[in-house]
Amino acid sequence: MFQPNLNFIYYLPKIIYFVFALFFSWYVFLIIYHLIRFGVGREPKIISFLFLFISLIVFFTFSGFYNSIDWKFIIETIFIEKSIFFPLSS
Amino acid sequence: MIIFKSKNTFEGQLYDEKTIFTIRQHWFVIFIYILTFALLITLPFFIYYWVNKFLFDNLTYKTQYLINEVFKLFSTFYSLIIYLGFFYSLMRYILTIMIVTNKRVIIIYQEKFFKYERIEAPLNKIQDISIIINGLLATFLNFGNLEIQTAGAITKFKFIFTANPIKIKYKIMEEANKYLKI
Repeated sequence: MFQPNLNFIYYLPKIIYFVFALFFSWYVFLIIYHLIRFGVGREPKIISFLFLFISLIVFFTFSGFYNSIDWKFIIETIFIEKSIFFPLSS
Repeated sequence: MIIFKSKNTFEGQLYDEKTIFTIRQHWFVIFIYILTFALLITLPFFIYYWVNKFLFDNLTYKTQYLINEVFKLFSTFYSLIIYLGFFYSLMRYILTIMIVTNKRVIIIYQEKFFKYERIEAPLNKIQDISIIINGLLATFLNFGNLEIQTAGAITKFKFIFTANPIKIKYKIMEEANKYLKI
């Protein structure tokens, strides 16, 4: 019987993390760019600096939470064992 | 520090043009954003509480652990998206501005990324300024819509959620009168 190779699934968390990090950085850049380029007065500049600083903290916190997720368990339960499709209650 | 000094310069400013004052929308707009995003950020915790209270007893330990991990995953992404959404709204609020110079009135509405509407009225073309204060909150917090009637191609300019609209109206009229005397 044909068995698909599911090893690539273990790379899924890294791929998701990379794509999201790229999206987050791009979005943060766009907000800062707009605030500095089109902002009138000093408030937009101050807020853009604050935003950059907070974004760094938020992103490191996000990375911490993301790494604490038991990916192996999620992947094995959903994709390998497929137990999510069977009765889950006792 | 240079960052704390600003002459309120803007794109398209003329050589001998000076910014008299700038106005942003009332703080109530920001308050609504904060309230909305605060409610949105607490939403996953309510869902988790509800699942924990009503569903967890009937599930196996393994399923409970799976739900916990999936919840952690989704709430992490969700919080980050809410965070970006809040600052996006804040950016739109900050970039939506009315600039009154010694020559004209400029209203800029930031709609989204790379899309804004900019309306200009020379001070000598201003015919009338009307204000609309609608509702209980607007009356108590002193905000409303400011409408500038001009003699140009675009006859009406509107700046919504203006803080202290009566004072702003007289300040613009004063600047228009000064300009006409020159």
